[in-house]
Amino acid sequence: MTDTPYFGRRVPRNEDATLLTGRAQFIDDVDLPDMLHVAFWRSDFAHARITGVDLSAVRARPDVVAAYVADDLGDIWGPGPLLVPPPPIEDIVFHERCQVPLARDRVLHAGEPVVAIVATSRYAAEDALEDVRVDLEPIDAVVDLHAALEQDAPVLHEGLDSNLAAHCVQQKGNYEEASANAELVLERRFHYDRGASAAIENRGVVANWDDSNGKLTIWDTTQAPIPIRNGLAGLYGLAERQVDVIAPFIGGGFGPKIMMFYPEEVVVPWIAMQLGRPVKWIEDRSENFYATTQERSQIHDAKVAFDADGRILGVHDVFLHDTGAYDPYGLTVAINAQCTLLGCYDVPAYYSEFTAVFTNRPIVTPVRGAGRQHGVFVMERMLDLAARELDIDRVEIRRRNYLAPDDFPHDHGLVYQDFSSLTYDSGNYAPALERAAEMIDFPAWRDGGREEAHAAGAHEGVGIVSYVEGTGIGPYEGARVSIDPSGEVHVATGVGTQGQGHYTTLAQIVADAVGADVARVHVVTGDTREFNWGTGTFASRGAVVAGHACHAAGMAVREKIVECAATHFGVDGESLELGAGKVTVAAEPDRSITLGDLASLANPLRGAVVPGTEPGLEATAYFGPARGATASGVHAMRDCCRPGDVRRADPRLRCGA
Amino acid sequence: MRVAGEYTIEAPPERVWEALMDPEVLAGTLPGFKSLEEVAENVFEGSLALGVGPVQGRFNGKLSLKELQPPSSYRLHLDGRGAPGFVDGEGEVKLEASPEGTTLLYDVEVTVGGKIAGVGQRMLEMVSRTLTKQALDRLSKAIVAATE
Amino acid sequence: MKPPVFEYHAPGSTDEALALLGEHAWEAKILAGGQSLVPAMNFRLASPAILIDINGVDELSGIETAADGSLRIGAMTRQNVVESSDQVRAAAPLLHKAMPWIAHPQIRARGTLGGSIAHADPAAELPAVMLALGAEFHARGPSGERAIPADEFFFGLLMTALAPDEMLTAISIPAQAPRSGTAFVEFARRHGDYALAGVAVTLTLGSDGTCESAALGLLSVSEAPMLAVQAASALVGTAVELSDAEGAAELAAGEIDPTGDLHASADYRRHLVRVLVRRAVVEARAGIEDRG
Repeated sequence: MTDTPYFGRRVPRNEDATLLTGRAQFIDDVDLPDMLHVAFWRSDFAHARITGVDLSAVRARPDVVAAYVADDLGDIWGPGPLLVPPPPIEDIVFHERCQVPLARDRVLHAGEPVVAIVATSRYAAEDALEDVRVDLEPIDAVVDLHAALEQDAPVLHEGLDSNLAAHCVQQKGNYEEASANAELVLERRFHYDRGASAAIENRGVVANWDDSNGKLTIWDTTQAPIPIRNGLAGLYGLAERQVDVIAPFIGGGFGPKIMMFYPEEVVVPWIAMQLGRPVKWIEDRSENFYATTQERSQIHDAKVAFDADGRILGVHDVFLHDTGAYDPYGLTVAINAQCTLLGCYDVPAYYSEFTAVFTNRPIVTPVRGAGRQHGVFVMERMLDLAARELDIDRVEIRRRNYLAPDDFPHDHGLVYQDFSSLTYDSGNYAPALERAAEMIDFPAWRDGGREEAHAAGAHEGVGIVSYVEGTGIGPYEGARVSIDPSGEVHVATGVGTQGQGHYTTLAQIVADAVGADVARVHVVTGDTREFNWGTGTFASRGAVVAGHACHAAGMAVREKIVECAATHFGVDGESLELGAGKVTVAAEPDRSITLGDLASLANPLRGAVVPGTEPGLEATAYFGPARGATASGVHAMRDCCRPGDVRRADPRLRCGA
Repeated sequence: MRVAGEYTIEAPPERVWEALMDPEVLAGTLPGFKSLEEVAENVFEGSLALGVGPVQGRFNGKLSLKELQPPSSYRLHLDGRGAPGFVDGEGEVKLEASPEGTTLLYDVEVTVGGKIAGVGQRMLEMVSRTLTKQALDRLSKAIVAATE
Repeated sequence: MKPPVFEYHAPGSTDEALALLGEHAWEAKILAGGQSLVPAMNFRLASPAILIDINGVDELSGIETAADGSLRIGAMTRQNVVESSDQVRAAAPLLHKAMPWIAHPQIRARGTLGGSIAHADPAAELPAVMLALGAEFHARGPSGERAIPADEFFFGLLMTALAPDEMLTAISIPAQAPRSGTAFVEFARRHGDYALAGVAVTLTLGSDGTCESAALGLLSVSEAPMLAVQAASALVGTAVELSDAEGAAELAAGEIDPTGDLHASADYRRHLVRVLVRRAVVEARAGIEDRG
């Protein structure tokens, strides 16, 4: 497209009127007649043996409709699917241990559900929780990553002789040789602690089984409704077309909502099928802290070898990765840490080894960064330390180590999380670094500004980091674009939306493709009734992958528009102009037709649709990238810690490659 | 969390020991215990409502006494569970004769989990101090009253 | 996070509220701003069988300035009303200064002056401020009204001198004496969090320029808000120089017996008290000079 009235420009957001007037449907807004409510009894112990469950008092309560333990779940009880198998890396070890819908013999983390109670209200269901009797024999909890691998540590999972979940080595070059003549070898240990994502809207599931048409409808705060639909259909023995998953407006995803097959996601729809009534479960904030997946904890032991000029000769990093009680998301987080550590830098030799460890902590899956920042932190800290040791400024040491603009595409010889090679498609890092350094006036700080501030009683610090991020991974997304006789343009895609603004960004892409007003382009995301091929919103892939699919579908519709209008006006297609919701003969501005009228013409009630063509102005297209796209950026900050006197807070710059 | 300290009771160690082994006295002095039943030798069970001010939680508690050295020391294990979470304590109680009567020394390592630990973290040590003091004050009063 | 079943009453007058309280004392809780009670109920850590909601009792709200300049503030007066009151700013600058330190604006819009005092959370700002102000609390019960000085009110963790059938109705605060200075400082990991420690100070100078009286209220360093009595009396008679502030800080750190938690060890709290008392005393003293 040469002319883009909308793409890349500021436009009022299509979704704001709905959001600001309170008409957006979030999960707890789904209210169905005769609906029942679920509360889960969760273990307070991180590690315990279940020796008995007594629900007699629960079931005797008048407002309790049903209560279930693991054994009541029949065929649907079992470990959930492995969402991402281990990548094809030589000698990789991976022990698959996925979460179960309700704990049966042992609880492996605090917050793991043991009992599901269904009652006439959430209040009544929570009242009944107090009558649950679960006999638990506590076992020592495994929390410390090093201790977890000791011989005497309690082992979480049956069939394993230790808490080792995975082991993986990736390397290029030979670190030992590369570092043999180093001027400086730095060795440091880096601790990365746990974090929870805490979206504004917690998780929730509402399910309804309609016996009259054999359909199960699930409203779910998922980032990936289509995989959830397909997985649950298989689990319940239903055809995929019998199940619809709708991800309404969602108040934040951040990773934990990707496609977990969480216990609640599996159990709640099953209960709706069992009872023939709609069922709702909304996660409360207390549950969110231990029932939703988390991330972050890793311990890195890193060595970096430098020459006298501060050039990196080699990096050697051995780390422990805490995968929590189960590892349903495979090794994505650890592989991301491993592959992102190299950053923007030319590293001739890299040895990276990690051991993933089962612990009695909530499950680890990608959260906001998905392991990338762990690697970045190690490398950037080491560069700062080396800069100090070698008396090189921090901007300069980065510049010296950057890959050069003609080094691309650059294949690191490692396997990335999307199973393709870790290849940077393009990059030019120095301009962003220079711009960022200029924005915080780094030279002034370096050449006396810091001492000057100190003399005036302030401690002024600078932080400057650069990074490369693999984003926009496959496998694919699709979109359908159709134009209604009213002139409204409808777009449907499979990815979910959790606040990214897809209703505007995808509309901008399609509006430009078909020549429509962006406000008249209506986007539906995350609703399998509308579109049921695709994966989901994660890894910064929504705009890249679904955006491409929208563009492709929009361009296919554009072709139909042109063909139809050319026939209508009896002119050549190239003599037509598209824009503002109509098609105009360029040389004769009086001759135009709206997209709506054209849509009617394309769907005639009499006469024939020309053989070999399709009726209507509609097209579906798909896009799958060969590998993820490479983005890069620099963050710089100069800050003063004198209370109340922040001189320059957070001037940040982020540049794309 | 370590709960340790000492407390003076104006009665001889033998008398204090006797009270400490008497489920009725314990039920009357340990805060929140509604009843206490000796379910096995030196193992007591009961339900208790523990709390301070408006904050209250109901627990089922089990108190086991071990390594009894009358009248000078024993080890104890306390296991309380309920909707608000769990309390697990393991430690030692020593009685030493003193000019005033008896010095009771206690040193218990307490683990608290669940909701009370999550929500009430900042108050746990204060709560344990308050409850320990309540219990010892009442115990002392009961012993002194019985002796008089 | 849903509360268990409770019976709800919404009396329209203090008399009606007291009658209900008299009837149900041990099972009932008074609902004022609800900023501590309601979360505790939602967590099921508090489960009063009966809730007496006094938000509809208009006579419990309002700020009056008496002829002698002292304040009488109704227990149900919202914290943000106290915060923006010119009467409070004039008569009790310490209270005015401390208000923004309480939680967040949304919480101050619901939270009440009396509710925070009656709840007696050791980390709350208002109880410590009341101690430093020498406030007096008016309580009503079946046997009528009584006044309780602040330093006889806070007993222990969440425990006060109020009987179960008594209700806090108003708070009296003496007008700040001439040649007085005040300061409120606290330290929290993030603004609005429960403070790890905090200090409220009132200093009054005599005609000779030395300290005539001093009061230091401490929060979050013991089971109840407390006065640092030794530190305060050490300041009396001094010119409140930096060294005097340091001496008081040292004494204050010595007269507390703080507990530790995940956020701060007992030793760290002691350290904070040492630093905060020094800063608060210096600031209070400087405030007097500012006023000429």
